Amino acid sequence: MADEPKQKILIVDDEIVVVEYFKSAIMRRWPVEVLTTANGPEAIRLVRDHNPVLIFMDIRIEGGMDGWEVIQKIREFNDQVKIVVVTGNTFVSAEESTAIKHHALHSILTKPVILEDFLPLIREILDEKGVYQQFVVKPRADVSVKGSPAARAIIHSLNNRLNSIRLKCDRYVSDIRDGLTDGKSDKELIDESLFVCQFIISEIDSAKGILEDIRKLQ
Amino acid sequence: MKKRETKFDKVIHKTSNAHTCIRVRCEKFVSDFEEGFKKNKTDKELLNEALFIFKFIIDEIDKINDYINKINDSRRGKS
Repeated sequence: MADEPKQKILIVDDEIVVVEYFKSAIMRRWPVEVLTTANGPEAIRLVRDHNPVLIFMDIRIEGGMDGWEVIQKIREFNDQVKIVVVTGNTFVSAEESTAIKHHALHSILTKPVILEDFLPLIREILDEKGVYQQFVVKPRADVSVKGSPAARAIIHSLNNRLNSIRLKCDRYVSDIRDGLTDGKSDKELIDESLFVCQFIISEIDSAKGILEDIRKLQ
Repeated sequence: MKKRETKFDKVIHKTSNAHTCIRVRCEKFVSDFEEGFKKNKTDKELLNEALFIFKFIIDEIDKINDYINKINDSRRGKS
């Protein structure tokens, strides 16, 4: 069965550091394709050709157009895509406020953009599209160890369980590393860690049945 | 006569060991905490301990995945 085409996100920004920062943070978490450009006309073409669900639009870009002009052009043929404006201005001017309403923009982020600001926003938009966050895992081993179909099924099942444990651990560690837990106290984080430990224990205990099946096979 | 250990046996063996190892680490963390052994530790120390355990678990699981991948690669004739 062919995989469904991935939803796309477009980042329009001329700062390569910002682009890479956004791109890697998104792709580590969601199974989406991230398109990037620093050029206004190119951004319009990418929206036409790829129909992204979300655009991060910087205002100062290359190609003889500013972000507002690009947004205006995009809105002429696409009123569905969510657009988040990323600006270096600390304050949103009256004109920008009007533009936000006029172009039905989703929101505006001021630079420097931090993960805490934009990850929840992406999560909200992608959840609506049925694209759910994944956690950083190595690709699961394709369990094709020689053995009977039952044996392979058992290893597959054990492997799935281990990977679900890995997901939990990885989420906990990476959220702290990425600063997504900065608003939480150490006590809250410890409570969370106890919860994760208990989840792991219950996952492993429920694998006992699988190990019993293995013993029967041997 | 001792049964020859197959790759399947080895995977199961490693997986079961990892299960035990991971469970023991988590259980010890939870029970030490519940029984108050950790009361002389600061929240920061406890948090670091939790992070250490989770990183250990990630490493253990990665080792198993790598092992299974190696088996698969050798079966497919990769070096």
